[in-house]
Amino acid sequence: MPTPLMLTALAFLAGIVLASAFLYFPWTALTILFLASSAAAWSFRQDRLALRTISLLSATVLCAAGLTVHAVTYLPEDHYTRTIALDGTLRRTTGTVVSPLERERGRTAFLLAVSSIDGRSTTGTVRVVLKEEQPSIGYGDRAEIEGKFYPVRGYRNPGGFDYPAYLGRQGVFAVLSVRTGSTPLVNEQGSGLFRTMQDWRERIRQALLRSTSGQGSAVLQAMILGEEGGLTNDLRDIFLSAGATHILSISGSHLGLVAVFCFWLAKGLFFLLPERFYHRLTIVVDPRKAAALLAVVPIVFYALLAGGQQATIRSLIMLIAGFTALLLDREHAMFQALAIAGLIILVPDPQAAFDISFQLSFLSVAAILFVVNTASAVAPAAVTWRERVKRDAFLMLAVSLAATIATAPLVAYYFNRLSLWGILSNMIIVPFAGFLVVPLGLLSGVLSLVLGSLPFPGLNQWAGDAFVALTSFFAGLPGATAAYPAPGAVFAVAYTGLILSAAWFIRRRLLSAARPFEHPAGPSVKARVVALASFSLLVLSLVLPLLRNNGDRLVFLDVGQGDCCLLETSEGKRILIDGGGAVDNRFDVGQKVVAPFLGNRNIGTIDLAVLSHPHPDHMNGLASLLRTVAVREVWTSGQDLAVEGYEDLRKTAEERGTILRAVDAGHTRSWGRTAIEVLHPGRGFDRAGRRAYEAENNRSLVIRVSINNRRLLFPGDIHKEAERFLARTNPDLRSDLLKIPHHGSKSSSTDGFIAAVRPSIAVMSVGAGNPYRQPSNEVVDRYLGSGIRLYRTDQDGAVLVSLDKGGLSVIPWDALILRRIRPGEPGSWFHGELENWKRLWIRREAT
Amino acid sequence: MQIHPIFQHILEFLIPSSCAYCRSPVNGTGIPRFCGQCWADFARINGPVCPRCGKPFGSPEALIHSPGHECASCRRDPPQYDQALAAGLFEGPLREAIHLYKYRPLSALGRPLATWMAGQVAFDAKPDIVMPVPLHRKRLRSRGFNQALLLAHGISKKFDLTLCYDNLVRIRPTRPQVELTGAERTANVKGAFSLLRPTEVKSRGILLIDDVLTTGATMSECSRVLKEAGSGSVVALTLARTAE
Repeated sequence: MPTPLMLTALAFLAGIVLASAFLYFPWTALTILFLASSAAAWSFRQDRLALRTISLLSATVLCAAGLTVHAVTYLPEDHYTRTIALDGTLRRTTGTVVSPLERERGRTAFLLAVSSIDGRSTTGTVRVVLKEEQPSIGYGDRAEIEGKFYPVRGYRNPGGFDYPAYLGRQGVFAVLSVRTGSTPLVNEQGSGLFRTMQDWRERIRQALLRSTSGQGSAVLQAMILGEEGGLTNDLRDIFLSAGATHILSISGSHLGLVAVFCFWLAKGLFFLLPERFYHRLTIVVDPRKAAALLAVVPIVFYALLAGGQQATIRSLIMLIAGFTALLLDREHAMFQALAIAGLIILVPDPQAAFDISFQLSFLSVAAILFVVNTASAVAPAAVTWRERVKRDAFLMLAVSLAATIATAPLVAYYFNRLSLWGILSNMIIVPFAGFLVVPLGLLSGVLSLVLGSLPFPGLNQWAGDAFVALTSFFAGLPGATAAYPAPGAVFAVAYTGLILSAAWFIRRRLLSAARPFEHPAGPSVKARVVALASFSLLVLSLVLPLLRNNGDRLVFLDVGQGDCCLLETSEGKRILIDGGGAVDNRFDVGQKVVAPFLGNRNIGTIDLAVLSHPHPDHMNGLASLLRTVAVREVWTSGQDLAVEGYEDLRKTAEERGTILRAVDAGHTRSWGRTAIEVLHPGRGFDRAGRRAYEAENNRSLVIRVSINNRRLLFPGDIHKEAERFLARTNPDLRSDLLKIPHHGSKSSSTDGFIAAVRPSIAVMSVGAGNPYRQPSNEVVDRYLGSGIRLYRTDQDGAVLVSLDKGGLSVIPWDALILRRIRPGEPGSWFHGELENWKRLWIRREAT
Repeated sequence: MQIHPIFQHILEFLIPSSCAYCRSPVNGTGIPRFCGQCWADFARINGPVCPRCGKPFGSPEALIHSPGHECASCRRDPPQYDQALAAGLFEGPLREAIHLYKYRPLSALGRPLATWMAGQVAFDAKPDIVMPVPLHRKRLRSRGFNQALLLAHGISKKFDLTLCYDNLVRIRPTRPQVELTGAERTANVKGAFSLLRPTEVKSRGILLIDDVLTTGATMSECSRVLKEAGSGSVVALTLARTAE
């Protein structure tokens, strides 16, 4: 039976959701509010709800809605977004460091609470990125920083992670980029508890770095100190495949298991007291309660040491709420404790409800509580150790299963990947981390503060390595992960209904079997109706997509600076032309941008991938994609393969059974009405250019795709030399769509080439603010001057092209991103809402 | 730990708890998991009981003609203690309370149970030493506390008696008595107890405390050990006893 507190927490959540809906669909949200109020009024008249309950809930909903709208839209007069332009002008900023340092290879990032910019008093929080790994700056420092402000940029693709929104929820709307060699000037050292913890954290990190190495060390740093900089993409991949990614960032399971560990430890230590003293103690206080109280101390320390990240602090709040309930002899009221924790987190920061960490921890904790609660009500008393082991193993399996089932749609939504072994692997990986790796590392780390170096280095190294090996084992099991599309709204509702009714049904069954007198097994009509309705809805949500238009479509993904284009033919073939990639390969474009998009499109297999040329902005993404997506065949030009990074791709291809085929002009492949031809490099092309990279660009594969008499031309990164050669060797270059060569650089897109191709649509794949100053304005004008419709991924986000009977229709993804209404201008609400509904409607068609 | 009534009310609003027996809300009784009604409904023993083992007689007139009349089992097989007293009958809400207290285990019930227990009994002659029936270390470890000790502590405070919990000890682990039948129980606890300092009990009146008395085998065995050390009278007091 929900208590007032649980209802309040749910009402608060409803208020947040309603307010967020209001900002995009104001009239719909108001209508829902009106309907809800009417329903409440009706139930009051029918004597179903007490006036007290109704007032409490309405007040909570309105309060939550008000807080949310305020949190989302309010920016003070002197906020930097209102006082300066985020245009990359060099500015002198002062402020205070308000987050732990986030370190990566050759880079450090942190949040700065701005106090002035260029001498003018300003407020706001900005994310600072320094190009050095060991800056002499720390938490709480007041510093003066010279750098450039840019808006936060993410990759705008259908279903992609919205990084600007993520930072926006933390009140961060700009990045302050500091150039190499420029160091922040610290005016005043930070002090206080947080700073001390940060300094300790750094000292422990150094001790770990000195005494341990390799992947084991990286995992230790991540799990003990929250330092994720050392985790390589390969390593993250292993954890993702094993369904244990969550273990890498310090969250509830870490704190919880460390707490349990310390609880046992403290209990054991109490018991070592002379019996007389022990008895004396039990008269004053229950040793278990004292142990629970003592166990809170190390987890608070751990949470602070780990940088006090939001997600960690939220888990800490949840745990402390749970512990408090235990200490007050209310262990039956864990759901209420969870509700209290939720309110403590959401009231000051309503937007937390949209954070993945908040959602995942609350759902999994709720699922675990449900299982534990049901189990403790029905489990028979276990007397012998054999019975106990059996009961505990069964409980662990049920807990793992419940948490996985409860979070599966969210995991699919955020990661587009589910690990089927996760249920099993978590039963072993999580306790291994929580009872061995973390306590050992934490203890060694704390001791290293005193001793100056890490004690038990060998043991720690072994624990870290064994942990990685264990995870690798699960990651290596056949069929470890599968790609899943993000669930739609209908699916989510149906799934929720189904698991809730199933859970209720199972609980009733178990209860009535265990205690037939207290819980008679009456017919559960309601549960059955809900289950049946949900199931039909679920089937519907799975069938509906099959009825959608499955024409030929083409997507130029926003991969920042780089190229990546996916063609899906109506015959069901998928052709990927280049895979994007970061030049320094720091950010894994393949796994973080391309793979989620493919997952969302429910694509697990690529029939053909073309690597136009082995440059990082075309190749790195493809190389990493090969690890997780089944790619049947990769075409390369077979030239310039000695470049850095290609070997990596070749090896992965070999391991994964991908055919690598060197092709040149004249090579063709056709599937039904789709024909793919290689036009370049052909024999006799030798004028490649003076500099190596020019030559490599000029030797790009040029691909022409013909579908239904429509032609699409993908000329890679060729420069004018290759353009001329191409025009000479191919008298008919006419195409309906052209991918603009070399990101719109000045060295390509000659007048002659444009005249030869005469596209009606040209798409430029280019990153905003790239250091090469691409595209050249001259080139842009050249296309626009020829009356060609130009799309560019730096402005439009992903460019979606569908090849219907009528011809090519293009929709830039940017136009489909929902826009917030201006709450202060009610006159504009209707128009704003209508536009958003239209966007949703077109989205359904286009993606 | 006593919580101020105002905080109790706030706590009850935030995290309401329902009565373990009747499931109705607990409203600031200060007793964990029990409503005032059920707590007041603990089964008291009315009517005549065996003057030796405290077993209630079936007939209300059992003791009218011969006040010293002992029950059949006491006459056939006299227990080692001089008298057994019980505060209540092991049924209804009291039974639920003892179960929660011992098996949850909900140690916070110790204090209110001891208070209730102390309110139910009176002694003819004041004993000198209060002793809880000891637990074996293994059982103590899993339960965390000795349920009899918390009760004994409450009794010693109320009647201002000396509490001694480190003399009488259990020297070998025994199976839980609840799993056994009458005859097995006697065998189960045989030789399980011992006194570390026998001289301390010499000629002293002992009050033994335990939670539940069923056949009285445990109490009887403890008394035997005490009597062998030359103690004075041994009174066995339990929170509850079974009617049969």
